Amino acid sequence: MASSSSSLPSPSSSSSSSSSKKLVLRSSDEKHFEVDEAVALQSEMIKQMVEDGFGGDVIPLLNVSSNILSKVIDYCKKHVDFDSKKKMDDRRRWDAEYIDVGVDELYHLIMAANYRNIKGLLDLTCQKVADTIKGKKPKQIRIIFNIKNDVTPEGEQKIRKEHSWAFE
Amino acid sequence: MAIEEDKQEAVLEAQAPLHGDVLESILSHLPLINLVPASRVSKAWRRAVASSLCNSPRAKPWLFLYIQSRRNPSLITTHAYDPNSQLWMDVTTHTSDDNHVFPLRCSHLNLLYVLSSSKFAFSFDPLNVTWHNPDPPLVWRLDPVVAIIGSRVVVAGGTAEFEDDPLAVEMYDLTSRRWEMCQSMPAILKGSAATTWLSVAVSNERLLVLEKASGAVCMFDPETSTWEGPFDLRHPGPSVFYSVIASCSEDHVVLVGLMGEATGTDNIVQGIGLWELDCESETFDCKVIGRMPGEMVEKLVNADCSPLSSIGVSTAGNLIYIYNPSNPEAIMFCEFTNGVARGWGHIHNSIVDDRNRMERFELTCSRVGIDDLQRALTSGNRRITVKYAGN
Repeated sequence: MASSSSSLPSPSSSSSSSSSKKLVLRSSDEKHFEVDEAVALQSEMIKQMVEDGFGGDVIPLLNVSSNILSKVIDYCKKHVDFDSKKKMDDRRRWDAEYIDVGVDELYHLIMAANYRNIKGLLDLTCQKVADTIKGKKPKQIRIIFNIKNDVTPEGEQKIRKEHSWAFE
Repeated sequence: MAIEEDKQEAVLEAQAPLHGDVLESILSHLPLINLVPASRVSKAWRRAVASSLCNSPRAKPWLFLYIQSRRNPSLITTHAYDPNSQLWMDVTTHTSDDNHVFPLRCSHLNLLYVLSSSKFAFSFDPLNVTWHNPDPPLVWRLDPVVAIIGSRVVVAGGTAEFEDDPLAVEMYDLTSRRWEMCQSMPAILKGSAATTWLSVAVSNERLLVLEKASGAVCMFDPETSTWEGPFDLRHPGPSVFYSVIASCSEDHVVLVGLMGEATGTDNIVQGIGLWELDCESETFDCKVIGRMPGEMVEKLVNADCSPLSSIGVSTAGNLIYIYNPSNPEAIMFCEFTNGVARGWGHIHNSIVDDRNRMERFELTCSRVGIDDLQRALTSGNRRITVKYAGN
């Protein structure tokens, strides 16, 4: 697939910040996204790249697919807005709706937030996963996150034994 | 081959959906209680839990609240508060022994005990899993001072039968499992030798006993089994009319004083101050370390309809909890940094309500690690259920 600049999310970000400088981000499936610099700079990684003089070019994001990238951009746009308004209740409500996604999408969002170093989004996604884990047994956690149990019953027994507690 | 295995493990880990930094970030959002099952998911998760605890230790001590029915002392509910995650929990104990049929009391740090004419049992590990059941002390008394100093447990004073000495002191050695009669408490404590009137702390392996109303301090040395004092502390200032002491980290003793006017039935509390007691000096000098913010004092005073006539404290590490012992609906806390009380806060205690307000409350405080939780939960007789987020 040749690189195309189709499927641009409308750059009409409601953030009316004075700097209207744009940056172009490229997803792993070669889609281009033009965003306000302020929005892109929510990502520490991009900020670093810009500071290192990467400014004018297209910024490739090899590990992030277009659908996840557009979701991440949604987050960054909204939070540039929030930062200028400081309405905590609105922010919380919006975040809660935003993060109400399935495990698979959540996982991709975490990876994107981690890779692009977007602290707010990483916190939000990690908190969501943590909330999912709360109150679950090890077996249930393994099922949700598709984890192989490498702790043998003997190993488990050993741990239990180490922690057995002598009653006087 | 071990190396091969390690390699294989590393590959498996890298393929796992959640690993490394990301897994650790996730775990850092979990309260300690939820890290126990998380650490049993897989080897990688166990490592991630350990390293998450290393990077963000949940070091603030938990507060334990015991509510005991006044009509039926065997009805006790236990609640725990984790200040690191602002979380209230219910602790249910399924135990065959009958420790809980006797009135449950607590002393400094997290010493929990039951004492009757025929039974003495005590526990002092973080989650009170292990109970010691020695023979009861020779002299039977009601509400004596009970304290643990190193490996010795001291039982002193209490309301006794008239032929018994109300100032009698006995000491139990955990190693030799023997009781020893000690020198009686100083005569000045004759009318007040019970927990109602006395507050205790331990510093430099010695027991400090403070008469709450007068501020007189006596000191017991378990090595020589003898008393010293009274030292006339006379409270740290003229406006202090009631004070309690508590030992916190590294042998420091904190004194919390009610300031204002004591007019018998109508105490007017104008402030609550914190001092550090210099136990090395002959005169027990007090150094101001902080003062509770005015709005918190008001909250404590107004939480009860009756005037605030006493104050309860529980402390461990660098944190002190302060409350009204007869109605701990409002619980204040304060953290110490470099010996100065900073970081005041308030816990919303929704455990205490109209249904149990008239019951008896005991509070303790202790640092809880994941190992302690694992032990308590795997010993099979403990269940901890998360109640709801505080605040």
